[in-house]
Amino acid sequence: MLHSTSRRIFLSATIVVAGLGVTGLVRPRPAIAATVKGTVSLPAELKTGRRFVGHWRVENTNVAVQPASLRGGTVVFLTGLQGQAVPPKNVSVDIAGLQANPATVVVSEGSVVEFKNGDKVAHDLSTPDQPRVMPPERLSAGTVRKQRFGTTGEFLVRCTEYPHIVISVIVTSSPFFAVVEDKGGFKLPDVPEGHATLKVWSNGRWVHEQEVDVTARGLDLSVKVQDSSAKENAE
Amino acid sequence: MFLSKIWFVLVGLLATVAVTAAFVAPRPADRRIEQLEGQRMDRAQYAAEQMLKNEARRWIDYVAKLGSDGKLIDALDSASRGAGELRPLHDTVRNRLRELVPDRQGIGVEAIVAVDNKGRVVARVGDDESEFGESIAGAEVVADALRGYLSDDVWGANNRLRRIGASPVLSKSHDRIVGALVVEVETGKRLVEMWKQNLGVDVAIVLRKTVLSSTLPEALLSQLPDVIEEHAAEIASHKRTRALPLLMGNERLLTVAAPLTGEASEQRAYYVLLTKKSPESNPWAMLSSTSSDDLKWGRFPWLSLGLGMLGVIFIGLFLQRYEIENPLKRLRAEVHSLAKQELQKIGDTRYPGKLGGIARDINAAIEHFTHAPPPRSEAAKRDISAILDPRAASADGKSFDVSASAMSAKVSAPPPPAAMAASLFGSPRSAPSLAGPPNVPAAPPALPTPEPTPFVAPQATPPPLSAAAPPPMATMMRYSSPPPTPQSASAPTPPPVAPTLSPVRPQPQPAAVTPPPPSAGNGEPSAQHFDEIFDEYLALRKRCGEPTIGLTLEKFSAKLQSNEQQLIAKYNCRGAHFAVYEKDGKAAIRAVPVRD
Repeated sequence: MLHSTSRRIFLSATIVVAGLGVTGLVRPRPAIAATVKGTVSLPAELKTGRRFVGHWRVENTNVAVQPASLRGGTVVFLTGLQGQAVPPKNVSVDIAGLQANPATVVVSEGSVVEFKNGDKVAHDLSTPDQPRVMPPERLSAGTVRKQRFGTTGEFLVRCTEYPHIVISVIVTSSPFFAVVEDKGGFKLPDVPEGHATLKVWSNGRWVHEQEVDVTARGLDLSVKVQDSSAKENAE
Repeated sequence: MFLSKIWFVLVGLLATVAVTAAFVAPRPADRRIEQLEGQRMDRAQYAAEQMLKNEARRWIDYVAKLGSDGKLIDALDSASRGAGELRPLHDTVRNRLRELVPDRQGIGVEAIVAVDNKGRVVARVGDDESEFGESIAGAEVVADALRGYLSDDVWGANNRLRRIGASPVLSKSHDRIVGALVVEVETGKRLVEMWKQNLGVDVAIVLRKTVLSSTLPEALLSQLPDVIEEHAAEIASHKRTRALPLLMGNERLLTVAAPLTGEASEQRAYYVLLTKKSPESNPWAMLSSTSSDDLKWGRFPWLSLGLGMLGVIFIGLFLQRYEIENPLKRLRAEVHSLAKQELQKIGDTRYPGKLGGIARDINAAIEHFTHAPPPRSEAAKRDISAILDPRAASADGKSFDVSASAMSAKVSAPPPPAAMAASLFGSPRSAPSLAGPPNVPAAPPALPTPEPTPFVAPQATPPPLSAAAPPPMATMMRYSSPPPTPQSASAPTPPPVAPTLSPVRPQPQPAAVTPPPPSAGNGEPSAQHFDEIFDEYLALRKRCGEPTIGLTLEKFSAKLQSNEQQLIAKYNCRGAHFAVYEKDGKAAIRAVPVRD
């Protein structure tokens, strides 16, 4: 009895090992995965922390002014590389304290973004530039609005009452993207070798784009984003 | 007259120039006024922007000063450190703010919000005073204040506009930020009224295509948001619009719109300056807008205008007197002298133009009446011609054709004074025309005369004519037919002979024409003269192939005598000479009045 059982286990293990071996022979040889990392230096205009300025903005004379939090609003993308598409998923954006967190979400096609209003005031959310994607709708305090994004692209979800609340929803099929930290660092693991385009999204728009060649050893980049005036002068 | 005409033309040209200037001159002025109004609006917009900026700074400084209050600092510091419950701190801060800003509404503050260093609301005065604890750290101006900035903003939430000033609240040791104070300032009716007083123009505040407040009736500014939206691109690039025309009812406005700063700029919030556009200038509008001050002596050149007008009138009157009235007066005096026979003629060379023409006409009339008349025989001929038929006067006035053919000169030549030939032979058509008066004896009823030829001699075999009344002269004169040919004259019933009367003189007479006999001397043709005429007449008719049957001396003589009497009675002549001649192949007789 014991013998037969051991033999059965042995046969099963042999089949599994054989199957794995066959699978390994048939599967195409994967490209060497590398890591692309670096830092993104944003210009002053993108680090002010204010999208809408008034007449005055002066520092107090006693305490040093603290830098603005990027709030996850800067994202690095690598496009032009073959990669496994990210399946659709649900992503939550919390709106509380009159700010959205995260300010930028990257999702694949068909994903659903949940906007949760944690404020005591209502928010009228919509995509004014593409009203058909997300028409205006009042999001009362404590409620959730689920919005599906079925096509690739960049969408800015704005609040009519509080224009500084802007949520960037980037719908892409590429898995190669990374949110830039407050200090500017980013890291993209498992990037295949090849020629790619690096793009930087910040403050609701593409602010940088450059060509890179990803090698097996990976890349360590220092991405310096020009301010808009310098870019206009260069163009 | 020439100078007067020139003067009238000059005055007319002057008036035309004046009217043209009155209508054209305001147009450059209108453009200049519009330009000046635009510049005025530009300056007003600049001033408004500066006022906004100054006010923003003032409110920042105001709230920064509030943040230096010790009690507030302590309370916010406690709240930031999480020491103690929030409600007592809320009460403390709220009460302290009330103490610090007793006349909050009077100074235009709608709310003051105190937050701890995490952006959590500790207390607020004004709106929602009982609400606290929620975070507003996401508001950019609050986040800026918590980072250490003093800044301003404009919010457009809940269909209201508020100017925001925020300042960090530092600890008493000034080494850290323990919170922030945010002041919300009214941006509506109070602001527009204040700007109207300071800028001298009307003001409107627009938020998302809605006029929030205005110094003008908001119902009349319904077009304003649309006008601004149409110029959104211009506003985005230039931070303002140029001066735009806007119709408000019957009023024409000039508007300049500029965006408010901060978050409100994203919410399409604008302040709009409006001023009433000056009405388009035209002489009538300008006259209607004048005041009594404009017509005062010191402001209006009454003296120059009056002197100019008097000068124009004086020159016109002078020229009229010089060229018309004085010559007329002289002419009248000379005519009077002429009537009194103190003058023989008017000195027409002294009168210009038409007055000279009148003078010359008068002189010509005098010349006509005073000079010797033409020879009596010719005068008589003319008189007879004029009386019998003015058109009958021959060109030279020497003789009159009394033949039937001579009557045809109804157009080409005047008929003779006594076309007796026709009436001699009883032509019903010729009699009245020849004799003129209706009582002229008609031709004998039995006198054979061809029916359609009333002015020719009696035919040889005509049907007897009745003594019917002759047709009117007009009918007779309309009757016309070509003259008979010699062949037709031999026919038993000759065709109608042309009842045309032609003047005798211009036609070259054939050799058969008999010269007129000498005058009888006593005014009555003698029987011998009638016999001679009768013989000549018969002979000529035969030569011409005309019938002579029915012609008798007695009737012939009676007719001649009758016509002679008519001429005598009519023209007061002594008698008449008759002569026979051939006219167009027919025998005819003409009469010549004798006065001598």
